[in-house]
Amino acid sequence: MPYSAPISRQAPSCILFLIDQSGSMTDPFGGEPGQSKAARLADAVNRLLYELSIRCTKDQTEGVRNYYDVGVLGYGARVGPALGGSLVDRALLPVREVADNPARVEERRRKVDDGAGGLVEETVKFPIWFDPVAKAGTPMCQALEQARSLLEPWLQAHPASFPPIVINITDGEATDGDPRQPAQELRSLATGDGELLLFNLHLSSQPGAPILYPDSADVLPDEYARQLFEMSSPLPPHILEAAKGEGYAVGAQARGFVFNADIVEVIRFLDIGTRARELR
Amino acid sequence: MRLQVRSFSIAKSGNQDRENEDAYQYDVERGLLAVADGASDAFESRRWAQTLAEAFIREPPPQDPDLLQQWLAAPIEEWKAGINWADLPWYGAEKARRGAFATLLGLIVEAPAVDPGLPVPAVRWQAMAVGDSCLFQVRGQELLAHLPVERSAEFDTTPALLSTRPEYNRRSLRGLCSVDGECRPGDIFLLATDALSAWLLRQEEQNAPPWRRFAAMGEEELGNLLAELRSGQEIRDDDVTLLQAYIGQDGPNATDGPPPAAGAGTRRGRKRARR
Repeated sequence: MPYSAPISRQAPSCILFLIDQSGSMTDPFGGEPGQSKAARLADAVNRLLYELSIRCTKDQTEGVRNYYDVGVLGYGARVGPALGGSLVDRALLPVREVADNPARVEERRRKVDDGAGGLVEETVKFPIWFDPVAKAGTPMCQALEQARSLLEPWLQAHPASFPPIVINITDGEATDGDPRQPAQELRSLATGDGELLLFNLHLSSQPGAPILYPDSADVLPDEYARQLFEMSSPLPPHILEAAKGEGYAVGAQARGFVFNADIVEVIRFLDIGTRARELR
Repeated sequence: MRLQVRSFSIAKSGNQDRENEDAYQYDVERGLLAVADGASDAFESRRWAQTLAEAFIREPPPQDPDLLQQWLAAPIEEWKAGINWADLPWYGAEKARRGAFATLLGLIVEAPAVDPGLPVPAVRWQAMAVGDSCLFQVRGQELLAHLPVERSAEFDTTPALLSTRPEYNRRSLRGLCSVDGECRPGDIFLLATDALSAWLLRQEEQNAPPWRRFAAMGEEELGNLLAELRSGQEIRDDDVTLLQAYIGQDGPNATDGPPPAAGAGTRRGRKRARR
């Protein structure tokens, strides 16, 4: 059965983000003035890397276990690795190395349960790996091609692993051609456990309810959304279950695609889409 | 009344013994047995499971949710004292703050005071469980009692768990299962963590009671059976722990119950079985 390989240190999986860094990312999220899409998205990606590092931590002696190789590719004025600090130019690296090398660590205040029915404010460390960038066009085809050349050798080295999950986050149409072809080529990569999973998040520029995990392109309002839907992989069973568990009404043919996502949906999508069936 | 205990514990495939997040502890003299299963997605759950099992043997908790909540304070402090907080990197500090989680199953077999020469009266037992580690009381080929999970279909991935975060325990303790009963010489108690418990219950439901077969198995045979079940995907590949307690009769001619496996029968249980 595909998508059933447990993720282990001997057989890690891979999570690769493709992040739209085009000029239009300076716009605010639909109906949500203030911060730009680029800034809110950077926040969401940092948060996911934070949660992923914690998810892979099980005890004090070993620290973060290398259950994943992780990468972030940006596409805008250039296409390439987008993590900051000492990880600049690193395309794909073990999650342990990500956790140990944030570009900087900020301190944030948060309210937590004091154990006696009240709330108490405390300071927590919040690492930052990825800063917002928004410049030039949307070379999505190039980004998908670069992802493929990055993952081909990874697949050869990990033939039995749970296949890589690629999450593409964009606010619009590709400016360098039809991305369906390179997306198809990327999705045809596989391990013995199944084809690579490509999920797409279409960020909103207008207010309106998001369309989540659709199972048909018919519900989508425009050509670009339909394009992104076609590019998206059907959800494997354990992610389908996770989405149901989070209260989404998903059909059996649901794809890893969200149209008109607001930041809350982005964060939930990243969490659900990277859920592991089993971390061994 | 004489209690003999055999223990078996093995990590999920591909993991080392020290990564086994199940724990057990027993005291034959006092008739106490405990099994705890640490949640693998939390922090230092193996340490927490061990701490809980040891705490049960040291002083079995009261069967009242409020008093049990108080009883948990000591093991929680013990767990915290085992964490090197000052040296934790940011991810360790955050994960530790979120706490550890484990099931706890405990059994008390109360030895009655017996006058020499008189027949042995019935022996009382009392069990408590939070989570899905299960107790089975078996007589011959018959399953007399089991708890806390009723049917194999009821095992899921989110059982109630005891946490090092007291605020989570209030809710978990609503699921406290506490049962008592009687046993007699020849009875066997099995205490097992979830993967094996689910399989045992399924066998029982499919009219293929596994009890007699189990009673005769040593550590090596259990290991072989488990490997077979795992490779056939008949059992979830998880850490597996099994304590088997035989109620025997005192006296030089007592022959009931299989002989203890090597290493069992000590006054205090080993923390962990060898592989």
